[in-house]
Amino acid sequence: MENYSERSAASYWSRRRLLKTGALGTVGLGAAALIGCSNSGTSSNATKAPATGGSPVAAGQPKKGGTIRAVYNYDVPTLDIHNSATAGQGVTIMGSVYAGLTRFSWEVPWKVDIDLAQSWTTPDPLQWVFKLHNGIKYHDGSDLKAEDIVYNLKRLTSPDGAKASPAIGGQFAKIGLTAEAPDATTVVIKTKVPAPYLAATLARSGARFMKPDVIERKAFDKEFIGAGPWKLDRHERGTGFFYSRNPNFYLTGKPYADKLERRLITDVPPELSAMATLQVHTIGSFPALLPSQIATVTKQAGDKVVVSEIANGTSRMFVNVDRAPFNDKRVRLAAHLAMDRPDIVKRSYEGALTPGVLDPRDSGDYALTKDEVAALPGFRTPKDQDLAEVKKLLAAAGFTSEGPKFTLIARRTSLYVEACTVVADNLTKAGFKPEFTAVESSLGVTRQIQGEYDMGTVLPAADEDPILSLLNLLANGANHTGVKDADYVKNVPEKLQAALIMTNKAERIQAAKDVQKYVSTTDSSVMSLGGYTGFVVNAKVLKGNYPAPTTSGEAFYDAWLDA
Amino acid sequence: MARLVLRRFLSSIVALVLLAVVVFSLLRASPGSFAYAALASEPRITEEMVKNLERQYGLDQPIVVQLGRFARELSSGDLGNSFYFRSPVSEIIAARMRITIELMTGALLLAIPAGILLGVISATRRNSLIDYAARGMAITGICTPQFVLGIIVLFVLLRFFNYSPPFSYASLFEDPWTNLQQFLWPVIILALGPTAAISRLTRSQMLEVLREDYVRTATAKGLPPRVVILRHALRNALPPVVALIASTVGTLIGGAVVVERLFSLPGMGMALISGVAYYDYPLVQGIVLFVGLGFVVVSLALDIFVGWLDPRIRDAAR
Amino acid sequence: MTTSTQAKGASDASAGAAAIPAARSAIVKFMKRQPAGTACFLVIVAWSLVAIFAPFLAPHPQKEFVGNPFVPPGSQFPLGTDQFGRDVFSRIIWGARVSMYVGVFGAFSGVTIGASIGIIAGYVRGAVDVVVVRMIDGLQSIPALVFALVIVGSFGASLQNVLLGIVIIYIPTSARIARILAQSIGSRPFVEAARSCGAGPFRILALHIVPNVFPPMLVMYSLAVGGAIVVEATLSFLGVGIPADVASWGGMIQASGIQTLASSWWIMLAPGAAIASAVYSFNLFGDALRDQLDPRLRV
Repeated sequence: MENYSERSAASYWSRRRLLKTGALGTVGLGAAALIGCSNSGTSSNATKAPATGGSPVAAGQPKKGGTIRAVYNYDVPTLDIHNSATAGQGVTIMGSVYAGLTRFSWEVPWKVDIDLAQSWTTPDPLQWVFKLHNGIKYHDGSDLKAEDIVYNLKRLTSPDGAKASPAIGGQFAKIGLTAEAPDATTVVIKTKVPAPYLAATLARSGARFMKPDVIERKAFDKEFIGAGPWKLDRHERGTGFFYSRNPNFYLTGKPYADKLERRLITDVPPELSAMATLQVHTIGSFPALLPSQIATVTKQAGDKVVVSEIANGTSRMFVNVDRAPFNDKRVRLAAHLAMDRPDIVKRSYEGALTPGVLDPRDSGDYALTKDEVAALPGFRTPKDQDLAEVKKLLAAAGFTSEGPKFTLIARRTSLYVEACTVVADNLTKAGFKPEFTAVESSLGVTRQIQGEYDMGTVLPAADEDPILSLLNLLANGANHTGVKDADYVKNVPEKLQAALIMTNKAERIQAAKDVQKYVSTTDSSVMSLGGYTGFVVNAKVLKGNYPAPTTSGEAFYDAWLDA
Repeated sequence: MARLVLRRFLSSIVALVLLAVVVFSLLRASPGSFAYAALASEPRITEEMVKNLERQYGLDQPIVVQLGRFARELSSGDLGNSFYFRSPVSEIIAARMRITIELMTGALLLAIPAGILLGVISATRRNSLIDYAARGMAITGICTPQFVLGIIVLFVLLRFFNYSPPFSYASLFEDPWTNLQQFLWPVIILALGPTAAISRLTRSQMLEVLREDYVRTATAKGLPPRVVILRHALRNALPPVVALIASTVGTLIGGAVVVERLFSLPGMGMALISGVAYYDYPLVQGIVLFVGLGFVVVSLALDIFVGWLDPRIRDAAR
Repeated sequence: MTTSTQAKGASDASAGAAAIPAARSAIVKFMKRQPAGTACFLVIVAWSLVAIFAPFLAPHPQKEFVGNPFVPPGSQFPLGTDQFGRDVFSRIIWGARVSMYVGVFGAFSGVTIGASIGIIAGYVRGAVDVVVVRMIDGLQSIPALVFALVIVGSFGASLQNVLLGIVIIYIPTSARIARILAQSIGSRPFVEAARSCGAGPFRILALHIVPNVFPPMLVMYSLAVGGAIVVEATLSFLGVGIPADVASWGGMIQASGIQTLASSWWIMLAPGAAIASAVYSFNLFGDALRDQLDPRLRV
């Protein structure tokens, strides 16, 4: 199990590399980050995690009060945190309201901290015992009991829950997760196969808990009763989310600020303007910002902001295998080969994308090396060989005179639209006939879930475990992407599920690399473009808030305003 | 006068009914992804759910029955529920109209005096530098799309003044100072077009009126030029200008859609764009009808005002 | 009978021959009196030629990525490249197609349909007139951009639907003006005279009403093109116009955003200038035309 902790320290600098913004403040934060670095090796995988104490990054005594201002770029179809339709912005928005058993640390990437659980033990590899803090209360003042958590986990692992949340509920169902509450403050989780990554998966916002009563009444879009640091006082769709601190929060004294506001800014110009003039305290947690956007902010705000890098997961295109033309494996492979990764990196991601499947900056040794990637079909330069194969494949599939026609949808978020613009161009050049439309973001999510598309794009958030990241990237997501071919199933989902419980790191890395190579040579329904590492901007007055993994949202547990 | 008012009022009502029918048929004729929008929060949409939804909205009924139902709901003030906002359309309009109305009122309060003043100055100092400047500004104001102006304003403010209007909306009554900063730039951008149009028309009207005999007589009587211009010339030059303002109101609503988006003002325009992008038919329908109603009411009021201002029109109605 | 027909034919022929010098002198007069209007007309002609011959004039295809992103204007790319590395100059030329097509064709159809409806209503009067007036009032109570949004929103974002929206926008405005003109011309003495001479309604419409309604409609048309170009650009800017990857001036501005204005100003300013010059020219030409045809006539 120790292999889960090894990545953190090594990838720390690269993940959170603080950029020089010409400010002295950067130096201070860099030093602080070093302290965080030395801590990480010891704590990441302790069976009993340390209590969340004083933050090493936030030097100085946290100040109370004030309003933290953040933004979001699009509304999500539902605020049900157990529905993957909330992915991206939704988890950020609701991750502040609901608490989980564990959570990711804000200081050390991928370090799993305790949340509602004050400790956990694993008596045997198939059993996890979580001991809750005493006297945890919901926002409405009622008591949170262990059985409530059991109720939530049951919902996630039910057939509907697994469908609605493939990456979390689906994964839980796959490992046969069951939960029980022997007393009011103990949750015992059992699995059919060892799941060493469980604590990390439980830390994702999608695995947080709502009050059972609200779930039963299906009122999760109107009532937001959790045990997280922030109470959602008001939600105006199309305007913003308005929170106040939860006075009953189990961590006494936290959160430090009185209020939290998230306002909807759909267009990039006003978002950058608002950040550059320090009207908001942070932007870019998801999707992260591109270099040219960062330049606009730092040019104006100078040393009043701190810019850091954040790995946002692997950018991928996915196709609907349930209908033509991508129900034909030759067409799928042709589309994968036709995408020109270096071109995409250059034109739509301003160089912030590393071609490949897993992002080496995030997954370290598990990712293919630069040379290995360059040799993969679809990633090769020059492109001639790939394009010649595309031609052959399309001809074999019966597209001799005219290429396959299909709809390419992009949710109206600048990063997605830009990526699809270039992908559409690549495919057109290779003989495909894509019909490219940008759709309103939350409607796009729904269309993807319902299978009303031929090709789409999404940036799936990375997981703590690279094998799990890979599984989420290739096998989950929208349910119309699952290739049912026996050979594929054996080489991708089954191989990854087996690798999940391996304990030898070298074997795990080998399995991960095999899968990455396999999907680039066969008819995968998911065509990865590369790992996206963009930028987050924080106002300097906002302390104790550093880019956490996208999967756990931006909950501002430890953030405070130095104003 | 009473006859004029009554006639205009009746024709306004007919216009509104027609508008409702047009909007109703347009939206029904369209092949949109209506079900996805309405059922977005469901983890899985089945055919049965779509059927239920169609039944619920009466879409399985013949078009005539649908129209009847629509008329019934409309007459009871029920505009339906928005799919996107998940609340009654009437509530959304009630909450958001103050922003759009504030924008438009601000723009008119700026454009009317500025336009008339520029027009009068242009006319009285014909071919002077100020005349050319005013005419140049007028034509630029008419020709440059508001979204281009908006982006340039945002950029210049940020780049050279390190300033951005506050992005989180504050109500005029709760926080007037923030509200003023928020609305100042969008109002100026919105007002530019109407100012230009009003000043152009005022100028040409004034030039004509100034040639009239009664103005010459007034000048010959030895009245000071200021009095001649204000009391004699302007009053007679104004009626067409007031009529122009009515059509300006329509342009302003279109402009509000753009500036609300650029300056993050959660008004009706922003809701309309969301509604259009989301196939939110009840919302689009409700907003269009509301805008139509507002436009008709304003036109009616201005017509009556023009009638009062200009006896010739009043007599013509008889 | 025969002679009179012959005489009429002869007079028609001579009128046709005389029309050319008459038109020439009218054009010369216009050029002398309205130098700004003439200049604007030349700009309009230039943009039209650019639109028609875009495939021959544009150095690169509109969607093709031909260089590095964010290349400043220079010898290789006269207006630089955009964030994808597409040639801005070529996209301006391709974008002219969209703007001129929607503007010229959309406004033309709208004004023609509107004017026809207006003329008939104004001339026939009675029940037809009442119905038309009510329809006009109803349609006119929706602002142009809102109406276009509704049409594009309900039928989908495509060039054809944007065009449809623009056609419908201009029907009521032009119908209203044409109706008033047809009414006043219809009651003038020379029309009465023609009627008393036994001229049928079609003859009166064709020979008297339409020729007299035509000049003001030409002015209306020129102004409408400018408005239509702005509506199309705004729809594209709002993201509900024509598809995102087709070059249109509004769409180019939408995609560039403020972040490129700081570092790569040409991506936004070039389409901005294109819109402004086209709209400016149509508006100013319309004004000049109006002043020339009838200084007292105002739309």
